[in-house]
Amino acid sequence: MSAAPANAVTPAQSPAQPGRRGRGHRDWIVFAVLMAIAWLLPIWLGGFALYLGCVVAFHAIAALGLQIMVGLAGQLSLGHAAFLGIGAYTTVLLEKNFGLSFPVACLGAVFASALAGLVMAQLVRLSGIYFKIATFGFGIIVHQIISNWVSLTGGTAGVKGVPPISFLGWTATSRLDLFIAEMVALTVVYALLIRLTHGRIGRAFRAIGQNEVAARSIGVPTHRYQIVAITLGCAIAGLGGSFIPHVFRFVSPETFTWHESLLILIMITVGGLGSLAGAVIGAALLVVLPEYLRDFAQYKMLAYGVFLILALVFMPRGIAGVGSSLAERFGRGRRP
Amino acid sequence: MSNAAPILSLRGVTRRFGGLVAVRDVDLDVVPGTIHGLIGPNGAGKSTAFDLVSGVTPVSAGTIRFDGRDVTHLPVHMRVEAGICRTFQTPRLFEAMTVLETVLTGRHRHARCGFLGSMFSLGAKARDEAQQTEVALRLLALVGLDGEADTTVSGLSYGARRKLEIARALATEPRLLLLDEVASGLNPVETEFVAGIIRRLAAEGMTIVLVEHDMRFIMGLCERVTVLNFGARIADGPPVSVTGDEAVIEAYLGRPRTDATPRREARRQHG
Amino acid sequence: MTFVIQLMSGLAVGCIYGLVAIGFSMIYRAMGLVNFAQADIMMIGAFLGYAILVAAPGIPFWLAIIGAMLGAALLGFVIERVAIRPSVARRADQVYLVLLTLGIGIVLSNGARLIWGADPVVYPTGLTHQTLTLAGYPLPAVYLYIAVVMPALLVGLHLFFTRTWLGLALRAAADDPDTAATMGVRPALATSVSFALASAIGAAAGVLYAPISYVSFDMGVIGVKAFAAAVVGTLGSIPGAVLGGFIIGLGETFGGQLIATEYQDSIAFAIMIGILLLKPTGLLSGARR
Repeated sequence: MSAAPANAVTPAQSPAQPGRRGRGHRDWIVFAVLMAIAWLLPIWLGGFALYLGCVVAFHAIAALGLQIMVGLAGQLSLGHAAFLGIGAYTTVLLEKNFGLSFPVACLGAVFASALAGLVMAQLVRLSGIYFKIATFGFGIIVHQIISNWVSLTGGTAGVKGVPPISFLGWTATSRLDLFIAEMVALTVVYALLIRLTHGRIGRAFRAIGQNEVAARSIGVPTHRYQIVAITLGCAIAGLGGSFIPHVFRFVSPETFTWHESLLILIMITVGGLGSLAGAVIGAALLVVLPEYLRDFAQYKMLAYGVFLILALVFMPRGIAGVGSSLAERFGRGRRP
Repeated sequence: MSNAAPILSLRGVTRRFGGLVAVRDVDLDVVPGTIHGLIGPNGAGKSTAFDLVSGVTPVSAGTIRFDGRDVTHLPVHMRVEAGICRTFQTPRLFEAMTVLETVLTGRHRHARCGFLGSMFSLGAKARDEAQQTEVALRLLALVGLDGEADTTVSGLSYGARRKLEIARALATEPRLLLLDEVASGLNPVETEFVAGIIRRLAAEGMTIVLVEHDMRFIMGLCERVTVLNFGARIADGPPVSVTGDEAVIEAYLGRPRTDATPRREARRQHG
Repeated sequence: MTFVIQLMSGLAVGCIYGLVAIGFSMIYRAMGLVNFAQADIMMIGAFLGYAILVAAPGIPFWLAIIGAMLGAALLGFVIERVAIRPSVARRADQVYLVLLTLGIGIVLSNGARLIWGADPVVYPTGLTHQTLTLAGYPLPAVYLYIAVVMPALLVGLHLFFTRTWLGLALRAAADDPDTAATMGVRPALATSVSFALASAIGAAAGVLYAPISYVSFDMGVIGVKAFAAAVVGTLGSIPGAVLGGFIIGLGETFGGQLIATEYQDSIAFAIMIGILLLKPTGLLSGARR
């Protein structure tokens, strides 16, 4: 009986690797296609589409962050908007009050959000559902602080007169410049996260998200990785948030309510939980669609809700899931 | 054969759940390099004993030593670090991963690529990944899943899931492997295949503890068997002597639950 | 504002939170689900009460409460059947179920917005403006209703769970579905009934809260603090929900007074996070479920 696995333990020749890198490659192909569309379409259409592109871009960045936390590491956060808010306010306040250039202010924003995320992440020792409700509370608390700390944030009136993005003597004077700056950030974050998910750390995140007990049983220090995933997700939200004052040329607490947290959650769910491409697709869809359904503005949230439920019931793996099963079927069909 | 210092040693290990005692004052010694069986009827506390050794559940009382070191209060991942790894009664897998990714996840503590390295490194990450992939493929070949490396876990057959879980556990390079009902749900061919893997691992010096209620599987494999009933150890010894033990026969066949308790107390001395 | 008025208002709001929290806890216990739509069901209940008071002017307030409870119970029953059960039956992931109940909440609140409009409405009943005087302090008259309905509901629930076959069956089904099934309790029935009951209690909370404040499609945010209450007192525990309700209600009222009323919600959640850090599964986690 030891005959069967006899030759198996010895390394010898590893089996041929047809399609071994299949998934990894597919992620990069999807990345290339998505980024090409995201870069070119708004620039080509211009005008309002360019503005929408700007709105999509920061949402996509935030959604990527949330996807890491929720879709990969399984740490549902109901207060993601708080970290966008921390990023937005940190950026604009550093720029206005200290005259810092955008990249430095943005770095400060990422740092501040990461720090707040690290604080929130300490709550992971609460069991599952308790943690989720605590993140909700965290979102409410941050929102109330930015609404009411008038001397710092201007309260509900918000902050006006946002200086344009400038970087080493280059100033983003037009909307196109702003869009380019955002897209650079999105492209870089997206690419880095693909690399992360293809490696040891990303696998550990996914392991925790898919079966925490099993992950622990093979030596993944789950608590530490949960904290890392949450902090990373929040830091990325901060990066996305740092563009908000520039896109809207104004920032107020209104942008960072519970509804925004919910919206980003819906983005990653509709796009496909666990898929980075899904986060980007979901962000684009949920920003762009309502704009073209303007006449039905009062149905906007209702449509979001229905969208969410339908997505959950009919495509539990989201648009990205539908896409990849189509791709698999297609791929299998071609191969004999 | 029991001259060597035990690699795993339990003393007075007890686990209570509320008023229920799932494992009661169990002593157990496992000799390095052997295949040790832990058997008993349903609800005897075998799986709980595994949970205690692997650290999934904390003990209520008693000590667990591994390789001479007290691991009673170590968290699960530290026990893996120390060299203990387990599988579960119902395989617990990462459903959305591929088979290969699953085993690579088991390489977690051996792979070196860190957080920043995963994102920014150019050569080192690729080399590390290639190395780990080679190990993982070798393990998949060992359990006969090398043809399924790119299959998504959720699409695997039951037998394949069991084998994959073994490969994933082996990826951590354990010195003590705990297999929980590894043969249940397998057809005879698969069972024999898995038994072959277990023998081969033991021959290479790995210590293996099997939880099983299929007596035949255990008797053919194990050098030593410990029998639990109602959470307590009722027998311990070579398979032959254990199968002849009256308390064991009664636990398996008689099962008059009401009068089992006093008799069990009387036969505590066995083993 | 004097201490007594603060105390009474804290207790009254605490009762409301407690009632909504009972709903969370019942559903959590029956099916291990945290129903984020519970707060919106409370809002729907408040609107149902409004619709009844508008349709039948002069109807006694307690009839409006009962009407709203019945309507919400039906709604809860339907939601459980149509939206939630299929996913639970599929053993869907927790993240997925949470999102599903969030989606239901969005649909409910925006559905209410379509029906009753975006502007807050006030109950067309004398109760909205009436006050009663207690030891020289003027208090909203609806406190009296709260003071009567809350204990009555608690006693009713206690009797239901300890004296009636259905109540015992529900408890059995929550603790051990297999045994309950042998008793002839279908787990599906148990979860439907729990959902309906939780919705009815939530609706009662909504109707009782309406005269203190107003009714609007986004008042669910108020009910959300009932999460904090349910969590503080340990999810799944009914006494815990009541205790948590009072802690959050009194805590945010007095805390708001001490710090700043704008921070009331923050204080409620800060209390919750603080308590969870000390007792990670709530105050009554040690007690039997």
